[in-house]
Amino acid sequence: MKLFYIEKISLKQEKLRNFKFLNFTLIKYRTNGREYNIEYFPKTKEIINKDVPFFYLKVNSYSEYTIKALQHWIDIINYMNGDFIIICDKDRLKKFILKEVKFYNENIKFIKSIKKPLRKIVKEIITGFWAKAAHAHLTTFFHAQKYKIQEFWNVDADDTIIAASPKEVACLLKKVEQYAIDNDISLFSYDMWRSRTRAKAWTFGVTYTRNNSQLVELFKKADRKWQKDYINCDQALNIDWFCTYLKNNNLAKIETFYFENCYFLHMGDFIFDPVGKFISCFKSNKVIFPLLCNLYNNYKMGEIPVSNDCIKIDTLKDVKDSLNFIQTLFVYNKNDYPEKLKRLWEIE
Amino acid sequence: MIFEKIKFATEQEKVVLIKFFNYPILKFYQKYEEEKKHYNILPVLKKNYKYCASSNTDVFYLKINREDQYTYHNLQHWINIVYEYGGDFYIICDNLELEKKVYQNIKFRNHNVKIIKSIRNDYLTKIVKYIATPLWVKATYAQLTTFLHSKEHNIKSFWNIDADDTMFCIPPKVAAEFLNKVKEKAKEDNIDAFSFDMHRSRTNGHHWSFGITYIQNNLKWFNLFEQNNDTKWRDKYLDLDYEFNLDWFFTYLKDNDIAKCETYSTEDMLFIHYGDIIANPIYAWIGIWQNNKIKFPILLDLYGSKKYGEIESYKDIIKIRTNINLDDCYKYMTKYHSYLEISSKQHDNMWGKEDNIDE
Repeated sequence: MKLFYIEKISLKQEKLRNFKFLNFTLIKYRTNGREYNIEYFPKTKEIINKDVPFFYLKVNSYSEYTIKALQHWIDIINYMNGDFIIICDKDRLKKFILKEVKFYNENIKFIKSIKKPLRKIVKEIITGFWAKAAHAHLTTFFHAQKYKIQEFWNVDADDTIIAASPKEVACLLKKVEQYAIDNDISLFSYDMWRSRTRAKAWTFGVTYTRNNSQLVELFKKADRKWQKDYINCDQALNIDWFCTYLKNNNLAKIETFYFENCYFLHMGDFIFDPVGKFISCFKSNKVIFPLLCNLYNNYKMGEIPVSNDCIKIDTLKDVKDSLNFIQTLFVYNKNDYPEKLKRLWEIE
Repeated sequence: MIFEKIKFATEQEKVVLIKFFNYPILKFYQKYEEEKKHYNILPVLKKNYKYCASSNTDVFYLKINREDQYTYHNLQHWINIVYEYGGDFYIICDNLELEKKVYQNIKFRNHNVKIIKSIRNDYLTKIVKYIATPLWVKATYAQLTTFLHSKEHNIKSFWNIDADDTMFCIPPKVAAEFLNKVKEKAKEDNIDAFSFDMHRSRTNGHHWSFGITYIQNNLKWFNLFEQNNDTKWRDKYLDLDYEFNLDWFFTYLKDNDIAKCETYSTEDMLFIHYGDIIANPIYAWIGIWQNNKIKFPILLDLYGSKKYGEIESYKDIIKIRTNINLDDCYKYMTKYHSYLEISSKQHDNMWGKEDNIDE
């Protein structure tokens, strides 16, 4: 860590510069472009608001889409009047996020994965290369336990995008929360893999969590015996597989949800890994993967039935709106092109 | 680092390269089936330090810069194409970390691997000054390195390739045949710079660009570069771009008949310009050349934009006749450039059986 450094933070209305010595802020400079303000030795206190929808946003990948995806989640949380903590183990990525993502206020909380206290539990749950991810996942549960947060969202915020406006997504997520409460579901996750694996696996990704103390107890009690029925299912077992085991053995109520007429993006290399990284859309009881259909001409993999046990939460009015959202979110928005480039590329 | 030891494996041998201030001074190699170790002192200066021992003298300059998963995938394809073509190659890479990863990730056929940096000297700086705007300075040094290096090494013609983000979705042998035909056409028609249609049709002929370009050194390129003592050449294009580079300078040379710069393509071909194909589908794309049109499936099928997703091939594009078949391109892409047909425990147990994807 540097002795002296400047932390750059972007807010929706203004920019902040924290002049720091080690981790201590000496000077806070803020400007909205017209006026500026300087505070010496500012008092900063991170507030965890437990009375509003709470999000753990896990980030790890360092890519252009990291910012797009995370910004979308921050906007959604704003519409839900929620609070969040970003779990990030990379200092460089943290700096990048603070600079590039536009936050709504200064209550920006970063934590790192809890390592040592969870090592024993992780050892009983995972095999192979999943240790880092398991620490990050378990951090959400154990941090929430420490701060007495019983309900929260656990989100892979660097590579998942629900393609609808933040306001619409906020509305959808509230319906998910209500469904989970009405049906006493402890882990309620978006269908990223359930249908693809023909209900063999249950996975995290965008997950609403309730009854946290109960889940924490289950994690603490985990011993490797659970792996015997799953060891041949995958290259390595992760916390998702442990939760699949909990679900299959009715040890916790764990379910999967989806939204119809709404695109979902799992960002990454869509060409090289078109099953792992995908754009999907739920339509008429099917999950459609347009890139597999249209690019690889592979309709067998590109159009699959929605798994029977997935719960439809809502249907968006028009799937085109969702597609338009992808276009406006990304660069392919003709209004974003500078005038000269519009002439060069003949974009009208 | 003063001294550096790089280990890598080729198809035939294990290799240890010792570098002194990033210059290879010593190389040890041992064939897998032999006990005996061989060594070369100052290997690059050795005669016949060529990747292919054939009589084909064409050199490929494979420029890489991006550090992404697809970089290695694309570069590997280009290395395989060079081998089938019977050419030699230099990788131009200014990023030391990336250079190390190239040794780790690329499977070379033999140990005659040459990785060089962009040339940055006063001579090129004077040229770059009047060609590139700040955004493109680095890239322009890399581009001009191909010209200067080939001139200094008396190379008559060469390929200038953006090897980290371009991919012909055809087997290396077929790609090599295609490039040989491109070369023949360039020689027949005395084309000085002959480039694949990556942006010419998209810009409706406004722009000529590098990417996969065959260059003939018959023309005294550096006379042209040296004569350019101001940025007036940009005037005609100020309406079309904010930043200028060597591609724009060549557009100027073409438009004013100073150099014969042409563009080629073929039919029934699938080509990928890697990048963020979802976020920026005009610049990074999968393109299908068919019936004198170029289709961009992401724009056409995903975004539903016929206007931008299917464009006419520009009128001055020279079509090279080949036996390339679009079905074969799809099969090649599925088999070699995606995980779709790679069998794994996860694949077999989790979705392979139900989807019968191997059928």
